[in-house]
Amino acid sequence: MGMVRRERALRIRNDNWRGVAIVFALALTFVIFVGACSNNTVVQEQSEEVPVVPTSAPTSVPVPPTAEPPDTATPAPTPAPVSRVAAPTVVPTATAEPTMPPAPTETPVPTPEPEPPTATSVPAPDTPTTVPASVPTASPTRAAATVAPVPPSPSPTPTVVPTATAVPTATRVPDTPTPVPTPTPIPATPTPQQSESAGQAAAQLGVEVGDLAHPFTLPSIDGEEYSLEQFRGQTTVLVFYRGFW
Amino acid sequence: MQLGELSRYEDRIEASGAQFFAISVDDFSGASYIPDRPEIKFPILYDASKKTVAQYGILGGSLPHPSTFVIDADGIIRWKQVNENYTSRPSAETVLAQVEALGS
Repeated sequence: MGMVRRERALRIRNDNWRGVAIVFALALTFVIFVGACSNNTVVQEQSEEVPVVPTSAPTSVPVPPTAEPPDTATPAPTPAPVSRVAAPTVVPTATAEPTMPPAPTETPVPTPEPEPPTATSVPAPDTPTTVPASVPTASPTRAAATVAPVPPSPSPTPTVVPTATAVPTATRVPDTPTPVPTPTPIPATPTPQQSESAGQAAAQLGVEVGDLAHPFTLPSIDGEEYSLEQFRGQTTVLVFYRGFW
Repeated sequence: MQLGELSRYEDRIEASGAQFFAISVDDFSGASYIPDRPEIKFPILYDASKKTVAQYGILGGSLPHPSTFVIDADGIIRWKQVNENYTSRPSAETVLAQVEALGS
């Protein structure tokens, strides 16, 4: 009788042990996990969410065992590592990946992308041509979205603000065309200037004794303007100098 | 020929009846005070755009070669000297001799 009772008692205790051990292991892993997370300021918020389960566990724990910590210590380690490994790995990967990675990876990507087009200016001509040609050539949905804002206001900055993370690449493309048009007119003006200067360079060689002097109108340091034509009928001497020496 | 040297020939310049101009590429626009202004009485022009200097073909790099042009009453260049070596410049005497030879 006594033996049976003892065995029963042991069984019950054993059963209790297992539950206690599991609860202990959970509590241990939770404590360790919280301690590890407290170092990471980022993950702290997530650790606060996790505790809800363990906190209920410890309250149930204290009831049965008092004198069995040595025994529980031995069974505890086996479940502890398992739950330890599982809990931290699952929690950080699941929570950290969705929130953190998209922000850093996507934001750096768009910034390098828009810069090259401006420098190379190769993609730029393509985008402006597609924009005036309207929707059909490029991807229909995005092109329609980008094309629609472009005609009313040439500055696409308003569209960039409202659109989500995925859109910036599409909306920033129109940014590049707007800077590009300005460069293109600039080269257009220099080319006539260059041709002028080239003609001038040819004329420079011809500025010899016996040639008609180039007309000019220049300001004086006294605030007046003088043009060579004013002094027709009078000998004029031009003294070009580099400095006052 | 230094501008300072020309300043000592004011009387001869005036007697020749020629209009002298000093032209630099310094941008004096908005300058109310020019510290090293030479003591000359004829106008000092500045060609900040260097367009005129380029037209006269005396632009060596970013600065003009010290040069002197004598232009007659018909606007024809009658004498010129471009000194790519700035250490050799015509003397004021030489320039004035050219001007006086033209009459005016």
